[in-house]
Amino acid sequence: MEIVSSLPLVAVVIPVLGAILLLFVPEAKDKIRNMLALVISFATAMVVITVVQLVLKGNIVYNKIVDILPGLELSFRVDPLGALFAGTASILWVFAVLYSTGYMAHEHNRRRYFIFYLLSLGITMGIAFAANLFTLYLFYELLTLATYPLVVHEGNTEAQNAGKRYMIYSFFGAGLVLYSLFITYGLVGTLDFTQGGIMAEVARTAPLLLITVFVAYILGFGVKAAVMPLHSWLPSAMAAPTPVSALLHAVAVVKSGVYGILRVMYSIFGTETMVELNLGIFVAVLVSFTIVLSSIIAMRQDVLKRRLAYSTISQLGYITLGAGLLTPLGLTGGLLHIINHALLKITLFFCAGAIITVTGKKYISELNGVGRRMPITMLAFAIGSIGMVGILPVNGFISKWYLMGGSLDAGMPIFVIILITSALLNAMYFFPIVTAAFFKKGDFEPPKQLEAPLAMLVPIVLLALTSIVVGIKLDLTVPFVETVVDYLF
Amino acid sequence: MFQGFDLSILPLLAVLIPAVGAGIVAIISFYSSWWRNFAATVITGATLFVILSMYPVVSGGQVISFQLFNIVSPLNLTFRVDSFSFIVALIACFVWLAATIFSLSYMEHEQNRGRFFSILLLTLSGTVGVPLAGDFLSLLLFFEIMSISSYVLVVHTQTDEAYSAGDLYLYLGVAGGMSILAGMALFYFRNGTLAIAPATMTAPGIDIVVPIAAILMIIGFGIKAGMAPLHIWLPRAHPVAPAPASALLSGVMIKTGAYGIISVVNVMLIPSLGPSVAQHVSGLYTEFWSMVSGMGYVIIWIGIVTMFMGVILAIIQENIKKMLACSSISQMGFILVGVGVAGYLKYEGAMGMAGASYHIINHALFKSALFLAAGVIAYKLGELNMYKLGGLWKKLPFTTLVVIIASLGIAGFPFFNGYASKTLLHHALVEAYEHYGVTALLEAERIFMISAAGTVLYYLKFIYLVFLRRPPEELADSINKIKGEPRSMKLGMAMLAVMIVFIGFNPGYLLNMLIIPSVSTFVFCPGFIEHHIVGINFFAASDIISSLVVLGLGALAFAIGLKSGLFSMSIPAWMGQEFFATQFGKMMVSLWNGISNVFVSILGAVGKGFSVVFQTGFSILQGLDYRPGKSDTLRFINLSNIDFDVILIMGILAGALVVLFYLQFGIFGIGI
Repeated sequence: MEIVSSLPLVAVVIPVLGAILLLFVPEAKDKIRNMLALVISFATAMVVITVVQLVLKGNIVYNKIVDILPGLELSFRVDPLGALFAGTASILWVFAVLYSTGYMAHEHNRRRYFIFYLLSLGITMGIAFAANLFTLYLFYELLTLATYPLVVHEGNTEAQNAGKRYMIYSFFGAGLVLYSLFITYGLVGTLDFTQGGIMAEVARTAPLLLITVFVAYILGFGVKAAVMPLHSWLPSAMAAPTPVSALLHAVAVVKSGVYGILRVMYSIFGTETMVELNLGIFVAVLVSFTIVLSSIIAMRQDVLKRRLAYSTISQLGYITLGAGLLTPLGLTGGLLHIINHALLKITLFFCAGAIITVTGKKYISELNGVGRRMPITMLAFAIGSIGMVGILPVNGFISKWYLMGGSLDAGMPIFVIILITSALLNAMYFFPIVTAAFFKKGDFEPPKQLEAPLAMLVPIVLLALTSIVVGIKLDLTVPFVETVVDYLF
Repeated sequence: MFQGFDLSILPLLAVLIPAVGAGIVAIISFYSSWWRNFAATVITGATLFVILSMYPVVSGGQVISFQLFNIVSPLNLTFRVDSFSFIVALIACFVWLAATIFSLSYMEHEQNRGRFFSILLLTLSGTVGVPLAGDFLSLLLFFEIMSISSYVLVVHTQTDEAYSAGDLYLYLGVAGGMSILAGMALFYFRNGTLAIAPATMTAPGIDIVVPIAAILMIIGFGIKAGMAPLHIWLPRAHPVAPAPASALLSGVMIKTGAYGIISVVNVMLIPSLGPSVAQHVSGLYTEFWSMVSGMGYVIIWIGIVTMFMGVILAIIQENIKKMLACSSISQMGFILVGVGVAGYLKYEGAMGMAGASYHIINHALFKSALFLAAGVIAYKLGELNMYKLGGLWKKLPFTTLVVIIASLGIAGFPFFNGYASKTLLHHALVEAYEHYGVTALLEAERIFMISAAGTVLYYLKFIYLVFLRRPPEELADSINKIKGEPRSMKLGMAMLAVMIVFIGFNPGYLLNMLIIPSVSTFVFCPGFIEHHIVGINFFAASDIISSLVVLGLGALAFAIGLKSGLFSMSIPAWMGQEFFATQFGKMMVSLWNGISNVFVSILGAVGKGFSVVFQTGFSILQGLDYRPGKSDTLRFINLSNIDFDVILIMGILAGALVVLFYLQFGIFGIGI
């Protein structure tokens, strides 16, 4: 049932208004700003959860803002896929804001930081709730702008260069999306996300054009989804403060790219057209290279955050791979990985940030024996690593299992080999960090009081535990994702 | 006794008690070491009690099933306890209790005791869970819990040696887990079930997927079981752990690998419709049967190679614990032969399965006893090189007795437990030869005997060098200072030694109580079991004679080795186990570096190219010098970090948008 409700707009507006509100909080008043930021992100999450619950009951929440052209309007329409993305992002945002209050305590320009952090929340919700490709594109561009100040936060040359690179890559991608958007609109006359896609008729008349458009879409959104060879902005964007890397470069920004790809594949092209034009295999093969190659590069990284970034590139490939398999099981695996990877990677980044804050070390080779100094943090890191490899009972396993099922269903067991190889590579670049932290000799002393600020430790522990709980109790994620898959197929 | 109590929850309890206990022990260990030791022992004991209380149900041939819905995997978490899984869980937990009691005093000298006891319990949870699991995915869950947590035991001492051995252990463990997972995925998405029950694998017919899935899973479990050539981690990882942990790694945990292989063979066997029915079922079955038979044949030979290689490796070791670890490889070979025969002979393979499961029990007992004894030596002297030790029987009479009992057990001397299982395995191998008359199996039987003799040889060497001969000068002083074993060590070893002797004198008792019910749960022809295994006379003259011949051969070889001084010769480095492991590792690393170097340089070049383009583009933009400096209007929002050129790009894009829109509508004639 389609409900007309302004809730999606509210979810977008709250953080934007909140960001404006933060403008009036002076730099020195940290307590007020932290409280405000937490309350705003929490309120947004509540609104989003309300919307998600409506959607889970089988409704579609629709909210029109303004007509631009015939068949082209700025509007929100929340279907299960949008609910999945919005729910994951907004809930994790609360944790990330909490963590930021701890991490940013000793940093400069906190006001600017929090303003843009909240602004990105609103824009991400806009992406998730977009009713058509045009709205999606608009917010997609805005996200680049809103996150740029966060990337260059440090203000040094490295950050400036990272910011430039980020901008150029993103705009290049968005340009490609825009190009495809025009052609799509010209061909079909609408850009609405529809069950089963809008391309079915055109696929018969102009298949070659459609393939070109599709490739442009994938490459365009692939920039933010860090599909190789368009990934290189992501590792360099690690110059940003860790909460930014954790939330934006593991969840919000990169997954908005993946979300774009999913939308193009399932709501614009539709499975039938994809199968007809044989486009799924193109995506699957493209990301398979990404999955394996970036894992190999990850092994060579000594900066912890860069290693995590390359791991993100590889893991985002899982999601896209699941989508590209064009089987319900594969898509289930891919979508589950949106949630699972978000939980795991944000935990890992938070741990990395805690290590940087407490010990000031950012190279993996300096972390021998850090488990003595930060046992809880490193335990959480271990849980995250186990999940990344896909070992039971941490949640990463589940998505891997469905992905394997999907590739076997699609009759392409080669992707099982890719997944297994990637799992082994993951083990080879994550486990040494953990084992060296606990079992190698280093000059770290046991902590005298708390090993890290409470505002950082609480999200770390909560998220690590959630990863296990989600891994054990499947009812929390799988039925939701299956609803999404049912809707898309 | 259990009126009104749902028995089916017992398997879950058996897994949960140690898992929760691990947390409790971890917390207690911050406060009191006495209570920590107490809690660890009691929790292990409670687990043993829970497993024992399943006996009344299981011995009646019933099966305990339990399910938790939608937990852990897309399937459910299931438990299924039949007699066979009961035995494996029981023996694991019994040995665990002995080792825990032993470690109460052993660990006094070690660091991080809280971590050790806590992880020990977590590992117990996984190890007990493997046999109790009702489907392969649940099994894999416990298998992984065991693999990962036992890594902490392997690297417990945190020396460089332990760390590098632990690496090999961890990565091979992960690879094994992934191999099992891949096999399982093939299996599940073809058949829609992963239940560990006969014939599940054949459900929708026979195709290439079945053997691939089975082989992947056998490889995965084989890594844990130390199956040649996947054993390379074992002689490195087992000895570096603290002695009680080595006892459990070598005595119990590798059995989970054997259990896994047995389960895989089990799901491939088609229920015994009786040979007559099997005959007139279509050719499909015949085809499948010949495949199973072929795989069984391969497993027999892998077993033979494993046992022989293990013996050779064990003979050349100097370090007691390394020798024991190599001996474990060899003994796993014996078990594999039994499993292989079971697959090879299909319905008539009950003897092989009986021998294998009997040997699983026996090996757990004597190998753990031997490792614990080695632990006493390490605890007292800190020296494990056999050539530097001697004369310990005077100072450690109890340990000497335990070592002699366990060695007689492992050597298969009549009236000690190994005799019973080796006799069964020998019978099985002979049957395998007689059934199809493949002459190669006659050679296999010879290697089997030679390996048994070799086992005698290296245990004689161990006893003579360490306990009986006069102590060498360097250590004589410290040996003289030894005063007996601590009580808890004695208790731990005594528990195992008593069982060895008990089983040795009543081989039929255990056979009837546990082995025959367990073999009957498989699909073997009941008539065969009735006929050949029930009431088997272990002390038939021919069997005793053949075991004495083996003993004599071993003793002779030992005498020759001792006289000629062959034992004191050290083998050239290039033949050594270490050499292969390290060189292989180095080779892999350099290969790896080579590959990744190529990728990295290609990507680096691409990246460079991109950045040159960007740099040029930027310098052109900056050359235009539109930079207005700090803007007054924007000062309120501190935007000074956003470069002007970015805003310029935005402008260009916005302009492009307008132009393109115009073109778009112009071309397609929609109009504004």
